[in-house]
Amino acid sequence: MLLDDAESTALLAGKGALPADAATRALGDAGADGTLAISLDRDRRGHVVRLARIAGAGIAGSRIAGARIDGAGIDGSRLAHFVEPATALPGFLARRAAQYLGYSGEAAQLSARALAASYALVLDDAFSVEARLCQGRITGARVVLDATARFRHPEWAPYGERLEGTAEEAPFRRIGAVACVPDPGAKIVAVLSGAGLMMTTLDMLTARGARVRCVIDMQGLPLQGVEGMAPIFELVGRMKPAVTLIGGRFMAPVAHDFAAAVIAANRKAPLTGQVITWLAGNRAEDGQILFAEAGFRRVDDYPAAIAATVSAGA
Amino acid sequence: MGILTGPETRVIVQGITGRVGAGFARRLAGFGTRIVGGVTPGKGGAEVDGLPVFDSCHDAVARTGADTSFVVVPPAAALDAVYEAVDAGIRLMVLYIENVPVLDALRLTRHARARGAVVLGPNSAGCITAGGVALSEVDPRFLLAGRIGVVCKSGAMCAESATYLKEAGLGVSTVVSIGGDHVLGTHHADVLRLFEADPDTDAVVLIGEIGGRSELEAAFAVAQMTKPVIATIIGGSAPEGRQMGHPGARTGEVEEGAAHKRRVLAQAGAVLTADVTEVGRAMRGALESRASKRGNRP
Repeated sequence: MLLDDAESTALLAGKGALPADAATRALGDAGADGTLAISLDRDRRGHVVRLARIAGAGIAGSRIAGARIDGAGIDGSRLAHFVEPATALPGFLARRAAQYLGYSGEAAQLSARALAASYALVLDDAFSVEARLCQGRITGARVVLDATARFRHPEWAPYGERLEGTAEEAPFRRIGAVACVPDPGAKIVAVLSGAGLMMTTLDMLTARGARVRCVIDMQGLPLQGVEGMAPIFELVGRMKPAVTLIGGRFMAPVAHDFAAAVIAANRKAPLTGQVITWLAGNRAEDGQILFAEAGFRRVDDYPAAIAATVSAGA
Repeated sequence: MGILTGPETRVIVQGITGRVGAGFARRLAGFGTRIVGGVTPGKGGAEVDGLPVFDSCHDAVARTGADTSFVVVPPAAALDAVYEAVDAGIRLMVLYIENVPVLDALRLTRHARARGAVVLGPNSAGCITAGGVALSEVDPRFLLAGRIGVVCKSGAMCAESATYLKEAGLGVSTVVSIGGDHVLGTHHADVLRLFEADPDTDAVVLIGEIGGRSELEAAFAVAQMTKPVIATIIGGSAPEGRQMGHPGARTGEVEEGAAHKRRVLAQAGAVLTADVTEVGRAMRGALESRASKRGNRP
């Protein structure tokens, strides 16, 4: 859940950071001393504090923004420190940060407050925090909240629903699926069971020269039958694909249920263009028969289904 | 007998009285896995399909000798469920559940690792040893038992890998899904080291994906292995910054991308395939090449 500047700054202020006053605001972006960011280090299972001396750009133009807090400052420098969860934020880091940003006196104290507030925010389920500093005060901020922790944060309710993705991708999130639209002008859509197949299918279609409008991971929706599948079909139908590949390998004995749900969903929200189905796994034969009876083009081998999709979309 | 589990493995299901938990207990028991009970706080004394339900992991371990847990509690309860299981002496936990808050995942994985316990997941499809213990929704009847280890993040890729190995006439020893979340209890490298030490595994298939650095860490393990590793990285054609199904599958920094991971793994000695459908053929080739160097058949 990406928060805007005002929301982010207010959250940091709530944790003790001081927002810009009239004097620092008057300096504008050019007066910014640097950017402070705290993000997850998933591989070392902790957080990383990063500072970069960056000037001349607002928070929206930051090179170390959001999910990719990887840039160096304009002078090529960067301060990075891994924070062990067991030790939490060490006291010396505030002094080191202030020194790096060239602060002393009140500015150093304020930057220490900004750092402490940012870390408090990640311990309160922020996924990442980024703040632009001027004389230790926050002149702009961007906070990403961990949406999976929403259940313990009723105070996040005013932020409403912040769905990730483009205008075509976000509605899939709303219904519980994940979509990626690599090429909005293309005519191939692929609807798969599982994140791995979603990625692999896009890779294989792309490697064979196809342009792909959208790939979708259905997540748990197939288990909900037609109630889960119909909304996917409605959203895919709006894209008016020339070819839709629908498939999955089901290791639980549900492949035939999936096929039945696909057929029912297509009755409810019929797809235009050619539909190619690939089904494998537990009770796949039953599902394949259902697909054939429903008039879908049935390809029982995954690489062959990819090839058929590429060919049909050419 | 593969890795992580063995003939003596005794499994409890945390969250057994829920619909998903009860379903898994039934299915895993049907696969032959020794499910010895379950845990749901406040429901001790009840039964699910004849399996005893305990109020706590401590009770369950004391009464059943369980050493492994299949965890299907709600995401909000995952952190405490793992703390409790580790404290009770459980050594292996499969966190099938998804949507565990990142901060909780970070805490529970660190806690378990610090105490020598293994966590697969969150968002793991589990692990399965062909002819042995199944802690996964994958029906073991679809696997050909053999001597190839498989480690993937994605459950779907575990199934695909086992399928293409089977088509090449190769069976699997253990198939491990480490999960698709941002923070994971077990990385590819951890599993590679177990396979390297496993006398029942001759070679390994590693399926990595975009996002994170688990595959880069794995490259260090590959470089030290004596067994062949066939690898592929999925998600290479995903637009930058876009999440691809798994919460952790998105590129940010260059090192998290498919091209860099492929390069590093290849430099470490892994044989890279274009996609998962080629892993069977590639593995067959690697084993034959190895056998011919040794002067015998694979």
